[in-house]
Amino acid sequence: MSLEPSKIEDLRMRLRSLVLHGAESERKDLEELFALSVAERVEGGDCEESLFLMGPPDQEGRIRLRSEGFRAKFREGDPLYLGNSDVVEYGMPVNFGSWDPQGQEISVARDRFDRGPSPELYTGSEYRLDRRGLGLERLLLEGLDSVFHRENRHVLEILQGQAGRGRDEGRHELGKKRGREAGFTEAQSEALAQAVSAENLCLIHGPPGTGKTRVLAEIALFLAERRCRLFLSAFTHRAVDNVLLALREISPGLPLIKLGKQSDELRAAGIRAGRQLDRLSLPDGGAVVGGTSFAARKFSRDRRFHFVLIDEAGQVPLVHGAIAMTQARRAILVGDPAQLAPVHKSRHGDQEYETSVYAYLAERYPSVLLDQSFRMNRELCDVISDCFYEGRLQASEHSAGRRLALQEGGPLRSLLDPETPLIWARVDHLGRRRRSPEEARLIADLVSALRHHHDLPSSEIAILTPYRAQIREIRGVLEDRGLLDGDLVVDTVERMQGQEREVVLLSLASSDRDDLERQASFFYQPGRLNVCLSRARSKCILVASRHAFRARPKDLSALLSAGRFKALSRSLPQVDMSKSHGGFSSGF
Amino acid sequence: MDASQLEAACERMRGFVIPEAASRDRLTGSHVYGFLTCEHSVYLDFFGDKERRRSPGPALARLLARGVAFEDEIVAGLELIEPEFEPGDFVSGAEETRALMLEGVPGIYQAVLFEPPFLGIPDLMRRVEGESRFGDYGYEIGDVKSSYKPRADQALQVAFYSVLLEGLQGVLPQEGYLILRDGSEERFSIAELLPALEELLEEMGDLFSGRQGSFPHRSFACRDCKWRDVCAEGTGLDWLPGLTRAEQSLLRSEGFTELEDLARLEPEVAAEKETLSETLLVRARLHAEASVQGCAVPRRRPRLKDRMGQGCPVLIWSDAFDRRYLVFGLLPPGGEAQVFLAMDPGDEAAVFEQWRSCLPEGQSLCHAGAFMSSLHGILLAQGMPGEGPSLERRSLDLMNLARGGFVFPAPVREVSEVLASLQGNEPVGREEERLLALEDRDADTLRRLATEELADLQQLLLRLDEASV
Repeated sequence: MSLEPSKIEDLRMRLRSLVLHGAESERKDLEELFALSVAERVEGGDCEESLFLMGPPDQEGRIRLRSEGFRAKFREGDPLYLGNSDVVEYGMPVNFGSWDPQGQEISVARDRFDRGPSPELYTGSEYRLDRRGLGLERLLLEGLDSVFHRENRHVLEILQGQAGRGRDEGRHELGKKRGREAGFTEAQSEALAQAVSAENLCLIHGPPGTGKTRVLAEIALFLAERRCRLFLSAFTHRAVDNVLLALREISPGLPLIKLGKQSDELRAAGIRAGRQLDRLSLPDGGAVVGGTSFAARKFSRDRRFHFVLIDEAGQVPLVHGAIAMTQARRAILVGDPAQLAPVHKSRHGDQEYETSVYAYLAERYPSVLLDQSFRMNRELCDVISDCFYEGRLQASEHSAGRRLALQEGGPLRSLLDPETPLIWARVDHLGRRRRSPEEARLIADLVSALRHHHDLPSSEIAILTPYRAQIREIRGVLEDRGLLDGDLVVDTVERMQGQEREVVLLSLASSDRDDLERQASFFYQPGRLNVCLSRARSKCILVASRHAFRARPKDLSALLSAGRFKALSRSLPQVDMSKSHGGFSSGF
Repeated sequence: MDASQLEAACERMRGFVIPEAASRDRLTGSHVYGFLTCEHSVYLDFFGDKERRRSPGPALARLLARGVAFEDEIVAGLELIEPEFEPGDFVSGAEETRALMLEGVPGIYQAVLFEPPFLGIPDLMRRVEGESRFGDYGYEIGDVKSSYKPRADQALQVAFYSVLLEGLQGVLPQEGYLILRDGSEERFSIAELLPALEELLEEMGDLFSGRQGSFPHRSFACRDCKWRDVCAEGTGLDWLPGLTRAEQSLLRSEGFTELEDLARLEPEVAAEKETLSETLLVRARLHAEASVQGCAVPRRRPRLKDRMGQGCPVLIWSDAFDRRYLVFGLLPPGGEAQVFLAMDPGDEAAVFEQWRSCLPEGQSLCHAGAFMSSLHGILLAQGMPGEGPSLERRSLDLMNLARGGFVFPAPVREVSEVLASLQGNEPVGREEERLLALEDRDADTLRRLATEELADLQQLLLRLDEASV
């Protein structure tokens, strides 16, 4: 099918603008951030100060800094500046590694892509870590050049909704058989069959707990056994590593290669790594190469792969996804647009294209739904299904009747009752924005009851909250009461996507309607609520003030999202803990 | 209307009661719409002294008239029947409406949905397939709006009408719709809006019954509000900008009512007040200081050192109603203000290019915030979205910097207001005059106002420069 040149040019221009707008917005955000004082940046979690250099960088460029505490919002891989000048940008570009609370050490690594002059660092001197821009503009524009190269018209056809829907019936039949042999459900078998038989594109919609990774691994194995070379992509290195490790578990002999840094887990699993795609020597038979889309950004004349597989495609921005798709004629995308979407920083971005590659393509092509969740019990699954999947998701027989196993009696029994898998522990307070000591106290009481009375290990409890400030508040209370250990997750929702626990405690922390209306698109994002509720296998306790549900945003789509929260709060069984745990709430 | 119909509708309204003092009034879709903007204004609609309401200013009146004209234009293109009844006789109007619905007419203009105390007169009611008390068809609600994007208050108004309609036809419409300024139809689920609507009506009931106090809350919306003069008489906390309603409530609960007390507050006091954080008290004190002094109070140093060159004030003004970009201005360093007007639609592209070609190289483009949206709008309209980032790179939002660097005694929307506040003078806004001039295509006035605005931007840049040193 021919593509109109004017439409191609329009698409190219709009995608380029999207990238440029994103870069500009990032620059402006940093400008505003650096305009704040150090104290304000520290309070906002965007700066860590009073760090002392422990020694010169090691051979791999790692730098260790002594710190008495760690309050910043930094995550592994975040780009930062290490310096001590008033001009933040004079610092050394580094990437955040980790925080070791026992050793009171922060580790960062020199950014190996930085070619600028290296500022001197002095052992024992005091430094600061500040945010740095991702600086992906050049990489994304290079990648877009590949997308629009004449050799990659298949990508443009896909993007324009003109890709053929054909499939190989023979492979489809074999795929179904393979699914049955693997013990897959009917939907999982169909997904596998459609993926391996697609001549252009296959979309697999995987709600929480439906076995997406396993399905993807079986798809990869099936194709690799038939001597196909596969490019496996995801938004982050960690996500790529996860799928490679899952593949290694089901197939010890399959050639697997990581494009980029080799983590300790990959090394332990015997998965080798390489830096550059064009220099990689691939075996004659099937193989799987995993990497982010930037690894594939430069046009490669001899398209070396038969399929490109994109995992968590609901979190991969459209431009990144398009770049990844240049690596093969056929693309298989696995994702869930009802979970967390990519974070968009552009202030004047093009709404149509500022979306994930999965959500964009799902508006143009049919998808196959994995309709059984193996994680949640029936009650939890039904709430998720009604809210986000139009009632099409079911709990599997295996998980439907799951119940939290508790001892007799114990404190807070009404909240912990296994027969109410989803419950609202109402703790009224007013005017809280990012931190609620009231909720933190109740969370600590719940953790204490679960661990000490019911012997539930910390590794089966997760505490989620939208805000880093509330994480610190909760961790502080837990630490004071001797309840904090390395297995207990206290984190934001974003870090929990893909993970699960027996019990999830969700602390909303906020109770200022006007503030919530301003940040409605973040706080009430449906994907965030979905991920929060669907991490639990048998019990989820929502800890929140009634004011958290009272915002009425001025934007219609934000109001509809807030409406889901309101509807949920009205439908849930509720225990009012305000008398014992609440704060000031009346008068408004 | 029979008892079961009334009961069904009232069940939706959760037993809402308007106290006797206001029983002559009806609760209408406009109240639902207005409640999202300001709850207190709706409270005053029922309990305030109506003699003290302000009439809309000339610009707002003109905008409202344009909205009515747009609605007439849309309606003229649809086959609609209007129920006939004496003005104010809503009982007859409701009966007429029901009769039209029994006939199964395809569309009704300004149907009357009346279940005392609730009154709804939606712009459009459209026949749709599906079982109802009337047979194998029912109706859904639509409204005509002169905005380009759908808003929450508009959708809630339609949801309110839809619930009244449910009382009549026995079935809640699945969807409602808005016809927007560009003629497009925005559809949405009514069921998904019900939680917000029910909560809104509960809160209205709490306010009207006195279970909850009603207080003014200062925002940008106060500028055009008919009750502005009444609220402005309030002293103390009620009229203090920069605080959320929750924060005002917290401060009241801790005994703060007078601005002078807040302005003298020592932050260490926070240690004694469990509900008040130091951050809130610092912010409240700054706002109180600004209000007491009647002028802007410094908050933090604006960061201007990344500015390119001396800076070139720029502006783009549009007639938002028609999405026409009419005025382009710049004030090059050391030069005279240049104002380009595109009075005819066909002039827009050429005038924009002319303005763009005059932008001096190596200079920041200093603007008042709305400029960037207008710039992107016109670049999109001219098919040049790719040009946006390079211009954005040079842009400097002086209003944003001013709001970050200072706390103002009142919400500020215009550069002239910021300058007046920095100098401790009464603000003199030009927005009203500008909106009228844009609508009237008054070239002379627009040139004058644009020149003044550019001069104000230059002044503001100098003030921010001084403050950043």
